[in-house]
Amino acid sequence: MNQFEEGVEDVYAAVSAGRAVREHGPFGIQIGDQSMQFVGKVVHDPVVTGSQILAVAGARPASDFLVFQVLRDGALEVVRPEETVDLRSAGAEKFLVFRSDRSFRFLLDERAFDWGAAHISGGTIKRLAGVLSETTDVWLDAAGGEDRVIEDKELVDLAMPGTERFITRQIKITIKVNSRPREVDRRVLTYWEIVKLAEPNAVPSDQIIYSINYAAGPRQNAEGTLVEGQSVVVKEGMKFYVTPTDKS
Amino acid sequence: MKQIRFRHQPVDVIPESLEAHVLYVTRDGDVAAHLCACGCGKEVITPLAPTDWTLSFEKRGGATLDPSIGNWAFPCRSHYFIWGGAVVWARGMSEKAIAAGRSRDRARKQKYYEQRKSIDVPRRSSQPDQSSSDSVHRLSIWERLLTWLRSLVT
Repeated sequence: MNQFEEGVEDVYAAVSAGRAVREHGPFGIQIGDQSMQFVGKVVHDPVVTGSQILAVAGARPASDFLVFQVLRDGALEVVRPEETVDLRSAGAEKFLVFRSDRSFRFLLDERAFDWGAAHISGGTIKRLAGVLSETTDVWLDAAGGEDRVIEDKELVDLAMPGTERFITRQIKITIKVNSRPREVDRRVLTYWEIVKLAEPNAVPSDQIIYSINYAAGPRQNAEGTLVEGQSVVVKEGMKFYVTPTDKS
Repeated sequence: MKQIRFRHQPVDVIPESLEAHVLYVTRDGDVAAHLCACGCGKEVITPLAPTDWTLSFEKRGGATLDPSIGNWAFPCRSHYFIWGGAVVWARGMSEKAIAAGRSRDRARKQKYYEQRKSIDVPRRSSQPDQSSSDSVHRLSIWERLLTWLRSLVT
């Protein structure tokens, strides 16, 4: 992520490499939006205020925006306009800027996060938690209700009464491949991933074509066949039949 | 060639490693497995479904798999039938015939699932998997003879 001009101290690069951040500017920092998309911006002072961050982010009028610092563990903390952040202290290189006048608090894996928008997507929660999207589910722990999985693109309303509690869990799904139970760590499997569950040594070849049928799948792909290049969404107990044998 | 027979073995799950001369069939009736009849040691998986193989039983207890088993994907390239538990060897097939068979198979499966999608209103869970039990039925000797004759002309 070397996106800054020469002479600019990339704070993220310094922290990642484990070296001390230079004493003098200019400093390259990361400013993100509510979908956690970051761009590099340059500031000159080692100690910046919330207002200065809003200014380099181009957030005007400043009173319509909130600044959050992304802490090392991924948690978020509000930086008020007059509050200062020392860029030379480790982990002070990422900020989020929201158009909002209030923040919303939620718990993610028992840690408190302040978020500047009324909605947050499952995918953003995973990025905040620092987990791999395809092998992790994020659950909304509904008090008194039933816990449910939040899809990556699904938006949760944080303005509802009460503090939302999110929990990340490793995906563990047992499917049946030729009747044999196989545990997988993701919800979407490709043709070759399924072939290898049946035949671990399988490699693509012109001579061997594996035919895959499936049944007992989720609504979007309840049953059918799968050919090379395709993938399916799996669910617990889903059945796959994989064979290289031909019929006559 | 010595007559090879398969003993039929009902199982809940196909074992991870198979014994020779045993035809494993799940109690759900959705898949069968055996080691290639030629003795090469390769595992042969035959899904039991309307678009795949059909398993039926002789009165005397031998299992019949229909259609034939074409192991062109294996180095042995064996081609045989299992009829009433006994292996009946079939002729080899040309690359062209194998490729044609594969594309015919693909087209048939595609058609099958498309048809099911268009007529299938979500089935009730109280009717577990009709399709798999449909594929285990009795084939008459005439049907099997017909299949065998067909194998000679393809």
